[in-house]
Formats: sequence, structure tokens, C-alpha cells
Amino acid sequence: MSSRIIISTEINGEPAEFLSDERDSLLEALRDRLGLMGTKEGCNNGNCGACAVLLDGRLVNACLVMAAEVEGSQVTTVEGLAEQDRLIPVQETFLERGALQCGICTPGFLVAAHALLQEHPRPTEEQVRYWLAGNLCRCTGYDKIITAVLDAAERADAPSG
Amino acid sequence: MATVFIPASLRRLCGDRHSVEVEGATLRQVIENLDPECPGIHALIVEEGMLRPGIQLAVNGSTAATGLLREVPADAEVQILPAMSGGAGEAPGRGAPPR
Amino acid sequence: MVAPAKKPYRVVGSRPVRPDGTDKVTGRANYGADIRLPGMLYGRVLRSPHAHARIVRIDAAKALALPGVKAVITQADFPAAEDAITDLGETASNLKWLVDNVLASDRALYHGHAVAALAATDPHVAEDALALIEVEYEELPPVLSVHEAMAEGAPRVHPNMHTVEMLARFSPGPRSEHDIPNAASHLRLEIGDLDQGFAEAEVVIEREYETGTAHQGYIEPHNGTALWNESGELTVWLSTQGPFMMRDQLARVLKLPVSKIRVIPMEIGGGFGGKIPVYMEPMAAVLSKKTGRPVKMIMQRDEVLFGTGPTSATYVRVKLGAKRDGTLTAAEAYLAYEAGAYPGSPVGAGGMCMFSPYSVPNQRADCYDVIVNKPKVSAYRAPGAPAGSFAMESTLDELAEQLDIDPLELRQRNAAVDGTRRIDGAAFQSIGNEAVMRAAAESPHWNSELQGENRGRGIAMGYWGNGGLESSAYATVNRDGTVGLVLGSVDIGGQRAALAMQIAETLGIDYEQVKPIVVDTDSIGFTAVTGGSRTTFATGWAVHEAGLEIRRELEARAARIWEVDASLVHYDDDGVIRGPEDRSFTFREIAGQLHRTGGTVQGKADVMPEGTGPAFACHIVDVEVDPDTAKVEVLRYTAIQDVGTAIHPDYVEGQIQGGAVQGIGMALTEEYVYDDQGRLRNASLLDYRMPTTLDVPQIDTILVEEPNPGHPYGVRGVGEVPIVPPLAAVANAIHQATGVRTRRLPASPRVLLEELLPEE
Repeated sequence: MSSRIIISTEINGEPAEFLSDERDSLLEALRDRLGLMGTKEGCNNGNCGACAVLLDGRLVNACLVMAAEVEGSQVTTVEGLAEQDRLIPVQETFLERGALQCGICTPGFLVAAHALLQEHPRPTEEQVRYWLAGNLCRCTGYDKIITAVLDAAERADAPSG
Repeated sequence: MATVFIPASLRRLCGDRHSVEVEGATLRQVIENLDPECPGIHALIVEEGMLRPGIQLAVNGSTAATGLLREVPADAEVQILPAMSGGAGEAPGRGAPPR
Repeated sequence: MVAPAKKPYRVVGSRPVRPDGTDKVTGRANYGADIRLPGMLYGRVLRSPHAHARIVRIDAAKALALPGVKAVITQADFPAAEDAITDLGETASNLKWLVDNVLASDRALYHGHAVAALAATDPHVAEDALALIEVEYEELPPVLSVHEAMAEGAPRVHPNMHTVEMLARFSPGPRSEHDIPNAASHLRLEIGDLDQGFAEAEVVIEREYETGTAHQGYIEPHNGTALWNESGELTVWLSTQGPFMMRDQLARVLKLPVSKIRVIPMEIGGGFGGKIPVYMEPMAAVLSKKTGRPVKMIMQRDEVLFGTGPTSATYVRVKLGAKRDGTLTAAEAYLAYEAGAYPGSPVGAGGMCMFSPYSVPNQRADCYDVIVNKPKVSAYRAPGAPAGSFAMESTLDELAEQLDIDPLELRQRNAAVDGTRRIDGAAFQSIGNEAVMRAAAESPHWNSELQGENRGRGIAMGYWGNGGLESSAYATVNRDGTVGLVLGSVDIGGQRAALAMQIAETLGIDYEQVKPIVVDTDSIGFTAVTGGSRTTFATGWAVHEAGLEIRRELEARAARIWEVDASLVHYDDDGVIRGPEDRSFTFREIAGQLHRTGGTVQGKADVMPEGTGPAFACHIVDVEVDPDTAKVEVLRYTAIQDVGTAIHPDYVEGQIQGGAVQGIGMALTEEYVYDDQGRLRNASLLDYRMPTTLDVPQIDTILVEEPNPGHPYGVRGVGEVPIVPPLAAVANAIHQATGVRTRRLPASPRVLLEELLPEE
């Protein structure tokens, strides 16, 4: 039998302390312990990217991180991308470009795209494809996702009015 | 007169004919009138007064949504088809649920 | 019939943001796995490690002794299912097969077949407990391919099963004269006189093809949460393409009246045909009944690959006869599709679709549904069509080469047109086949020059019939001038938007004024699955009818308010109601007066439309084949399709792009790999290799709009046909690049390299 541990961390900018099973992955902790259901489970072994989150700013699959590992760290999930009542550009362009169909992979793609745009604010199509290669989408064939991310980069670049 | 196209597996009932012309204002009448021409075909298509599950009828190329109640225009073509699912048709086990 | 003239639509054809979009980009949308209920237990399934084995004994005592484990079930916990096989012909709805596939009875028939299930207080405990269930198996020899299965003397997976003739299958008695082991059924489709057709031919070409097993590959695993309450009422929350179909299946398996079952569809993370059958839902229900608590079950990814419907692995033989000028005189096919452990492969659709883009006076297809020790297949996007078309379109390409005719030109010379008879004898009406071929011939891609070594271009056509079926909808006019639109069709890829747009068009109001909602099975009339390319078409009809009823009601109300005869009042397409003496109401104005002049107005409709309008597509692809590794890179891709009217072009293009990429996966990388004992060796998304962003280019689309006269806005189903052409298009491109004809897909490097390497 496994035992319970208390984990202190920061999730989406808020301090969070929760009781977790020592066998919980970060994905299980986020969903089952904290009720943050935006991070999706697609494969539970790191192959699909649906559970992508940022761990101390680095893009990781939450299913491959143990919950215990995030003690003292900062975690950003899809729920933490929007700024107060405003979507960030890549969320907007996903909507405007029809870059989602069923939407189950969308949180992972958005987190990965966000990580990319932090690192490379004006990525090439090749860079976008490289950064999103760890995220599987079965509905869209990726075309509109790639376009949405490239559009978001342009939008973020434009002087805000 | 409606022209009923006989599927390959049922042609033995119809003297190996590929099509048979019969009267009928509805598919029910057409299939009833087809039976003397193709003895036994009615029982293969109709069960308890309704189209058997797994079979569909088409009138002028359109699958008849109302089954045997479908009106048959003059000089229409009627096809007897297996119900093929396109992800929308018969799910495994679709049939009359218990009441 | 004359196609309706293209109208200057206000809403149809625009690209608004989908109503559920914000929730889906912020992580708020609730999918099936996101349900949490008080006291909820977690269920897991124990699966057979063998492809074929007798289940001698199941002992759950140790599992039940583990603290936290609340119940273990086997098939014995389901109501006994009658076996229709012994006295009636085999039918796709044999209840025993349905139940046996959910949980094995005396034999496990495929690797991953569910054998037992349990519920525990914690997911980790549930996982631990699985290992404590003891099952004694007696291994039996598996049959693993159509060739093995149909060989004389092959072991019969279902000992009492005999080959039946489709269409004759429902009568007691008549079996096929040719009883073939494990062939559950034979269907012959035929028009014309094949012998005469081949006699007229100046060239005859016959080729064989095979495709591997591919999975739908939706990113969201199957899930279901059930609560069987003390009054005997069952509520199930889940991801499904068809809540009503799920309700009916649950009713049959559990022997409950449908009125006792409420199915609540959550957001669904992809389906492609695979989220129609029942899998864990009845187990969750029985576990809930046994424990008195809600039970949530989520499949692990390997379970999705082991235990849910992939599409058939296939063998197809094609024989074509043609004149020297390319005119096809005869087309014959033999198709054998794996059904998996229980009958019901889409082989008939394969035979039905493969020749349909062409006018061939003499055609025959012999279609065999073959039982093997693999998971029972389920629908996958244009089920059955890709494999048949791969065979036909590859052979046509070879014929074009032999006759020295451009491959597209050959197709255009033989194009099916209005009046052309399909293999089932029905004549096409109002099809866009020729227009699609013309658009391909005029496309920038086809007219560009392909340069570089080891590169080739391929082209292929595809056909799919599209579905109609039953749909319900109702719409309520709110006093602020908005319309609540209540739907039974789950939204798997933008249907809320496409349906809201259609009723907005009907009512002459803005898209933003419509608030669509998807409801459960207690809250609307029967609505068939979101699938079969039917939703925008059939549910679109329903919302249009509901809109028309609102128009009539509002005309009557305006007449009453103005105290004039209703015949003098007209609801115009711009959403303004006009009466005598220049009196008028905008939609918002009259909506605001409804509650003081007789109450709310609703429109409702239940439809089962005919006139679905078939879909044709032509895909063009450029590839480069690495001569050393045989890796195929897709350089450029264009998909041309007759979409009728594109209600929301983004989502139409998205369907085409997604379908094309799934087809590319089938062509190049996706395949179930079994060992010789029938164990699936690649049950993960690393080893079952679906295309990633790095495997495909942007997918260019050309939308041909030949409005379907069978729909008020000219809609044709668009979702399925895009997966049909890619297999042959890619194979034809590989041939041009390498000179090698790949007759077995996927053309993975291993397969292709054998062809490319000089023989020792």
C-alpha cells in the first residue's frame, strides 16, 4: 500500500498545498486531487502531449512527472494561460482559425505553443512543427493549428491598440 | 410500374432476372406484388409488417427513410440493399430494446 | 433534379467562432473523464493475455480481500443473453455477440478481450487489484488473417457459424452453397454482364492488395461513469457519438427498459466511428448496481488499442477490363475483410464504394466478412471504403501507365455522371464527380512541375455515400431576441456552430443570437449518432424545420398583435416580419413582446431526411522516398472535394485535412503488429505510429460546391470521404518516385525497403 504525502507548490500563480498519493503522477494530482480538469489524459505514457504543462517554465508531459517532484516548483496548466478575463493571442487564434475540432488535444497544444512563443516569439513554420511534434491531434491534420500559432506570433508582435 | 432491381443473392428466387417490373404506390405494395414474381422474397424483406433490420430499400437512389411506408412514384426504380453503416448505421446490437 | 441556385446567404458560408470554443481553449469544457461524483469508485478491466483461450476458472477472492476493492464482476453478472445464432441466421445484432464482446463468456477471442472488471475506492488500488484476480486459461490456436481463417480445414472461431448470403441472411435456413471457414457472410453486388464486359475488353489487368489494421486513434480514451440508483434507474455520463444508440445498447445488454436509462453525453474527444459501440459502460453499470455507488471507468491507452474497434485488415483483388482508349468495360473485385472476433466488418461498403467514381457497365464485387482472433472492428471514417479504393485506384494507375494515358485523364474519360449506375443498380443524381475531377485538373498542384530525384506524384479518387437517419431539434425564442437551440447531436468537430448557422440563416438572424446546447437522452427526441457524415445534413434539416415553425408562429403572432389576417403577414428571409400598411417587426422586437401576447414561441422537428447526396473527392500528393532508408516524406498535398455547400468552411476544410492525414497514416505508418500467437505488440501511441506535425505538410483544400438538391442549404456530408483517396494517392506517388508498386499498406520503411533493395 502506498502512503499519502503533502505537496506544496505553486499552480497558475497561486500557492497550492495538497494531499497526494505517493504514486500519483502530476497529471493524476492535477485532475484527481486538485480538480484541474483542463489537463487531459490521452495516453498516460508521454506519447500524445494532451497533458502538457509548464514546470518551472519548461514544457513537460504531466503524466511523466511524479506529483512529488513538483514540491516547491511552479506549474502552469491550460487554466493558467488566459490573463484574467482575456484570452492570450494563441487561444484567440485557435478559435478564429478553427484550429480545434473535438478539442481534447487543445489544452496540450496551447501549452506547448505558449512555451514555444515564450522561447521564439517569431517562429518559422518548421519551428512550430518541431515544437508541436510531441502533441498528437487526430482531428485537424495540424494545418489550422500551425496557422493559428503563426498568426498568434504575428498578433503578439503587433503593437496592441 | 416500378422497376425493382434484384440483388445477386436473391436472383435465384426470380428466375435469374436482374430486375422485375411491378405495380405499387408504396414500397409495401411493391414488395407484396413482387412476391408472386419472386416467390419467398416478401418473407426475406418483411418481418411483422416492417422492413427487417439489416435491409434497406432505395427509391430512385435514395434510401427510404420511412421503410415500407415510402411512396413510390410512377416509373420509379427500387433497390434492395443491405443496410451498410457508415459509422451512422447499425451499431452492434442496435435493435428493438426490451420494453 | 435541378440543383438549387446558389443563394447569397447571410450566415451560411461565413466562419464564426464556435459557441463552445472559449471553454475548449481554457480547459473548462467537461469531457467524459472530467466527471466526479461523491462516493465515486474507480473501475478497471482485466484483459486476456491470449488471442484465443478457454477460460477455465476465474478466482477473485484475493482481489476482493484487498482493502478498498468493492466488487469484481464477470460476464455471469450480466443478464443471460440469448444466442440467436442457433435458430435464426446470424445478424449483426446477435445479442450474445454484443455481450460477449463486452465481457468474455467461456472463451477469450482476442488479445485484450475483457475477462473481468472491478471497482475500488482509488485508481491505484484498482490497478493493484487487477493483478490479484486469478484466471486459468487453456490456450487455443488463433486464426490471424483472412487467408488463414478461410483456408480449408481452418479452426473455426465460432464452431456453429456457417457462411450466409447477405440479404438472404435473415431467413432461417438458407446458407451459402459455399461454406467457407470463418466467413460469416458473403455479399455479391453486381450489375450488367461481367463476362461480356471482359469479352469486350482489349486490355485486362488483375492485381492483389492488402491493408493492415488501423485504429481510429482518437486522443481521448473511452470513458464512462455509471450510477445505478436504488430505484433501479441508471444514469451514465460518457463520451459517445450516439447517446441514444448507447442507451439502446445498454438496454439490450442489461435488459432494462430504455425509460430507466439516461445517457448524458459529455464533450467528446474524437470518435471517427469508434465511439459508437458499448465497451465498459455496461460493466460500470453493473459495478454500480453491486456497490450502490457511482463507478467511473477510463481506458488506458493500451486498452483502447487492444479492446476497441479498429478497422479491418483487408485483402482485395481487382480485375479491370478496358478498351485501348481507356474506356472501362468490366470491373470485378473480391474483398475479404477481417471482422475481428464477431461478424460485422464493413466489407460491403468496400465493394459498394470502390468503383463508384466510374461509369462501368459491368461490375461485380464479392464481399466476405471474415472472423479472426482480433478485436471486433468498429466503424472508422468511411468504413471499408479506403481499402477497396486503394485497390481500385492503384490498378487504374497501372492501367493508365499501360495505356499511356494521363492518370487523371483516364479517370475523367470514365467519370460517373448523373444517371450512371452504381454497383447496387441505383443511378446517381446531382453528383459533383466530374466537377471534382475538373477542379483537380485545373489545380495549381496538378499543373505544377515536380522536380528532384526520388520524387513522385500520385492521384486518386474517393467516393462515399453519406448518411441520413433520424434527428431531433427544438428551438425556443427568448425575450431578448436570442434563440435557444436544443440538440441531440453531440458536437465532435464544430456541429454546434454549423447547426446554429443554419437556423440563423432560416430565421434571418445573426449567428450570435443562437445559443446551441447538446442535451441528454431524457431531454430530446431520438437522434442518431454524430457520424456517417450526417449531422450537418440531417440535424441541419431538423433545425431548419424548427426555424420554419418559428417563422409560422411569429407570423401568426404578428397578425394577432396587428389584428390583421395571418395571410397578410410575411416573415421575410432578412428576419423582418412585414404586414399591411408598412407595419413590421424585427425578430428582436417581436421576441420582446411574446410573453405579453400569449407566451413563448418554440419550433421543433424530428426528421429522417432522404436525399443525402454522395461525396466525391480527388487527392493529389507529392512524395520523396529516401532510397537508403525507404522513408517516405509527404512534400505537398491537395484535397479536392465536392462539399455541397460549405456551411462553415473552416470546419469543412478541417474535416478534409484531418481525414487526409488519417489516410496518410494508413498509407505509411499505422498498423497493428501481431506476433505469431496473435498478441498485439505495439499497443502504445509511440509504436502505433500516427502522423505528427513533422510527418505531414499543410493540406491544401479546394472546395467544389455543387449544392445537394436534397437539403435546404445544399449540404452534403463531408466528413468521411477525405480518408478514402490518400492510400492509393500515396502508393501511386511512391510508384512514380521509385518504380515500385506497393500492394501492401502501410508502406512502412520495412515493407518498402524490401522492394527497393536489389534482390540478392
